[in-house]
Amino acid sequence: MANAVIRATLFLLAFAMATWSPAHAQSGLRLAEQDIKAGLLYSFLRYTDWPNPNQAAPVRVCMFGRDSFDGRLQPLAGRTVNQRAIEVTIVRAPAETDACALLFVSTADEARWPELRAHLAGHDVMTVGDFGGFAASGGMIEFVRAENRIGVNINVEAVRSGRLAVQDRLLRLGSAVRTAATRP
Amino acid sequence: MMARDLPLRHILLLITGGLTLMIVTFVAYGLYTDSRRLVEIRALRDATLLSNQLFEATEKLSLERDVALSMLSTDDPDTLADLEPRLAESRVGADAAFGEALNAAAQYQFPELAELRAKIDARYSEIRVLRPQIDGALQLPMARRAPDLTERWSNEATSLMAETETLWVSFVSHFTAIDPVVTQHLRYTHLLRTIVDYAGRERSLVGQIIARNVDATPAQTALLLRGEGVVDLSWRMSRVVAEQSGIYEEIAPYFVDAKSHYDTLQGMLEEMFYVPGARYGGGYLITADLWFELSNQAFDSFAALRGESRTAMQAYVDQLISETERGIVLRVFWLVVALMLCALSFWVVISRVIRPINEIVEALVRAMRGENVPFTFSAQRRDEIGKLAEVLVAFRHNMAEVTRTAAELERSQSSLRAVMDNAVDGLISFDAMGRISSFNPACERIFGFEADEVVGADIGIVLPALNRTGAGLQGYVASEEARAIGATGHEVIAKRKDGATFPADLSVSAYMIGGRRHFAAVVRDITLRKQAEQTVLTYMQALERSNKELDDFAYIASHDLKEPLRGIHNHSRFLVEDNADKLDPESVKRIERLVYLSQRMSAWSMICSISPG
Repeated sequence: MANAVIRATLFLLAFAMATWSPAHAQSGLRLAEQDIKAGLLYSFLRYTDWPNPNQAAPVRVCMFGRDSFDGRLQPLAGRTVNQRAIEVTIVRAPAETDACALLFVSTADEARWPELRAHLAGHDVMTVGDFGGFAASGGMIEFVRAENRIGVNINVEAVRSGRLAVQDRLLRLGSAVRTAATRP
Repeated sequence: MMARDLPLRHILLLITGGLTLMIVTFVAYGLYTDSRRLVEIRALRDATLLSNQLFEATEKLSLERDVALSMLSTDDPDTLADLEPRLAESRVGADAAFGEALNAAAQYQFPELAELRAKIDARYSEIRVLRPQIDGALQLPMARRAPDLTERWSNEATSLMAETETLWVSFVSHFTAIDPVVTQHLRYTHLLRTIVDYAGRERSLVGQIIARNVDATPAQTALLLRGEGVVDLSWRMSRVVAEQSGIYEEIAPYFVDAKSHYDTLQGMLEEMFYVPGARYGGGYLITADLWFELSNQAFDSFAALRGESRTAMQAYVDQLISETERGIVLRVFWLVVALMLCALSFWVVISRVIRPINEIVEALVRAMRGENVPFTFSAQRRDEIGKLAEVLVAFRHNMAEVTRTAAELERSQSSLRAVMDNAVDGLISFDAMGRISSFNPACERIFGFEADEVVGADIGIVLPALNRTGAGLQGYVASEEARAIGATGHEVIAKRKDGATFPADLSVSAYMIGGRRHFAAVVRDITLRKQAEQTVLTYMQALERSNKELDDFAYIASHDLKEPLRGIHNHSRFLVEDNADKLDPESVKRIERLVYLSQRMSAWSMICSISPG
């Protein structure tokens, strides 16, 4: 019995080593990227002031359409930011986004962005996207990749029109990114 | 012995004074304890301030150390340019924080503190020496930099942090016995320092690895994991300690925020350093500068927690101070109340007990000396003193009565004595045993004894009839007739000093004094009376004899007269009867007169002849 276990373990190890490939490295890269983006999302929440915040209600972080973070955003749920609990949910229709504090739109839903943007006009929802031209097209914060490094583009005007106040600390994240922010 | 001689009023005063002293001592001791505690707590407040300053100093230094180490590990101009302002900022922060902390520490005179401060000063000078060297090295490519500079800087900065921590530990050890909550808080602070320390090491290590753009060595990964473990444990312990000290409830939102932020930062490292080949595509996904920024943001949340903890602790210490101050005010109030009560009891004891007692005693003493004291103290009171005064006033009235009675007695005694002294008759008093108790001057004259000679002697020496050895006095005493005998005079034979006896008239009367029978005898020398009686008797006998002789003569004379008288009478009557017509009326009248006279004569001789029989 014990031998069988050892043999199975050795087999699994051998299999893992044999199958280690750039494809797996790509998967690791994706997870690392999502971890970093999750960390950045926390910073966005930390240094943004929403109008008329309800301290008793949780801060709702929404992913549009799907879990584009592959579950790496889930650890945020249950943590707190600025003394408010964080809630992570997936929203599938623009109408569901009203209750969100932050809405993440992934590349996969780029096509629905104009519809979302139109719906969110006048709503105090922080919009974050990771496809090119997101900030330029009225999104508030866009994750960018430059020289394999993650950066942040911040559209200050969009932020202001959403009646959100971002603190210097958040802007410093943007300025820390080498890619210059694109203004619409 | 002493206490028994002490006047009661002094004892009362002593007891009242002693009680006052006890109360005052008790309250004053409490006041002293409270004041000391107040001083200690104020010192504690200052000490927690210094503790926070030291904490801040190490944190700032840690940031400078980490940024400098990251910069020293790369010559990439972009990275260096990004980090340069951060380094300058951290240096200013470290200088300010150390300056403040060391200045504040200079106020404390604990002996070991001076030595530690000197050490820190020396170490800080080294840091200041190293800074320009680092600045110089950063201008050079990696190959031309001094090979040991990184290690020296790391060692000096880490040693300075360790020494500052030693100073902190040594400093707070002086304040751990004052208040358990503050002591717990200091432990909690120590755990927060541990978190800052290990999170700083992680920040430094990750910063260096990213700046160098190299894979983490197994040793570095091990260090990171160890640091993560220490921080995780410290988070849990600090929460437990904060809960025990009671401040957790106040800081909970900040605590959870800081932990959330730290956990999120930690989550970012998962796929970068804890898995092999994390340098995807030959580089890390974030820059060192972004790493420092995100890391500093987590430290911000941590600083907010620390600030809130500090505020909660200050509030606690301030509350302690105000409670102690309230306690002092309350004690002072009670002290004043106690002193007023003591003063009142003093006043009551003095005015209502001691003074009246003094007045009474003084009045009594003066009265004893015979002065005429008006007992004027207040008899209006209904308490014991009032009753005592009443009794004394009544007693004084009785005394006046007694004095008056005594004076009267004295007067009556004097007059009695005068009577006794001037009495013609002898007055002797003696008791039931026959002992003479008084002997008046008349007695001295009668008996020839001086009073002194016979007082106490037996009555028998002057009145043998009353000799107690004889039946005399016993007879008087025993006999119920004694009073009767005494009431009437009694002739007895009395004896003079020279032994001569004489007849005396004695009357004895019995009387009772204090339940004992006493006698008073009145003695009269009747020698002269006796002699006079004898003389009278002799005269009487001579008179009797003379009377008899006269009687006899009268008888004889009457008998001899009777015959001639009868002849005269008869002849006269015959003459009248026979010759009445012959005789003139004048003659008849004369002859009848003659008959009448002879009849009277005859009657008288009859009387004389009868009486001798």
